[in-house]
Amino acid sequence: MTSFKNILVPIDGSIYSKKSLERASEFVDAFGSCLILIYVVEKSIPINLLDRKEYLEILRKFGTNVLEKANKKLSKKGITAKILLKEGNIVNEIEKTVKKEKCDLIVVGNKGLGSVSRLILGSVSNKISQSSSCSVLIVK
Amino acid sequence: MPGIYAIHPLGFLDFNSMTEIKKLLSEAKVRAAKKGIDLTGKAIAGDPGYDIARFANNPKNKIDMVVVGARGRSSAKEIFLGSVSNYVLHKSKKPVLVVK
Repeated sequence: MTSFKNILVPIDGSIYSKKSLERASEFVDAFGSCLILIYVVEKSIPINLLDRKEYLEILRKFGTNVLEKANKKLSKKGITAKILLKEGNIVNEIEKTVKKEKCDLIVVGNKGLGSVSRLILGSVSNKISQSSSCSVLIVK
Repeated sequence: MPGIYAIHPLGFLDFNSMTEIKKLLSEAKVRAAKKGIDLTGKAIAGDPGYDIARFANNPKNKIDMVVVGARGRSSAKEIFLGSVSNYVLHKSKKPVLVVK
């Protein structure tokens, strides 16, 4: 029987990622699996607003902030999670870590921080569900 | 824990072949029973994607999660997700687990 040993939770600080984190912690309670949190600093978009370095620095700070908050929440529940901060294309990096850490399940929210408030499914969630090599749980 | 529904919409089969559906559902029931799980079989007629999503969204059915395979039995092999899986994924208001 295949059980979910490693669960990857990509987070971006939106309310949807909070929901997916809660759902993932339920899975940890049920299956005793390991949690891996990941925040990806989006590098592929061209930025004209600010100095590129400055912008990435802000994103990095935001990322570590989000990860720390999530980790605190989890440790309150008595769950220890592995924390990763990656840089590059969001979907590519998630794919890479899935292979590297041998994850069995990805838990994502149905949308994220995208500027267009989509009715149905966010762009990252959509891409992950289409192209990932392991099972995906879309939390709504 | 509520019972698990094994839904088998008739989208790709004609209505005369109910025997095949009954066989599929009873097979699933046996498999679930071996693991000690209570399974409620249910056959729905209609468009697979649309009706699965509608069944899942209906509050009467009290569905907590939808589990679908990534690929179905449609002949056009898409590279990524199957069309029904994709439709359910987008339209369901309940969490969806895509198994690969």
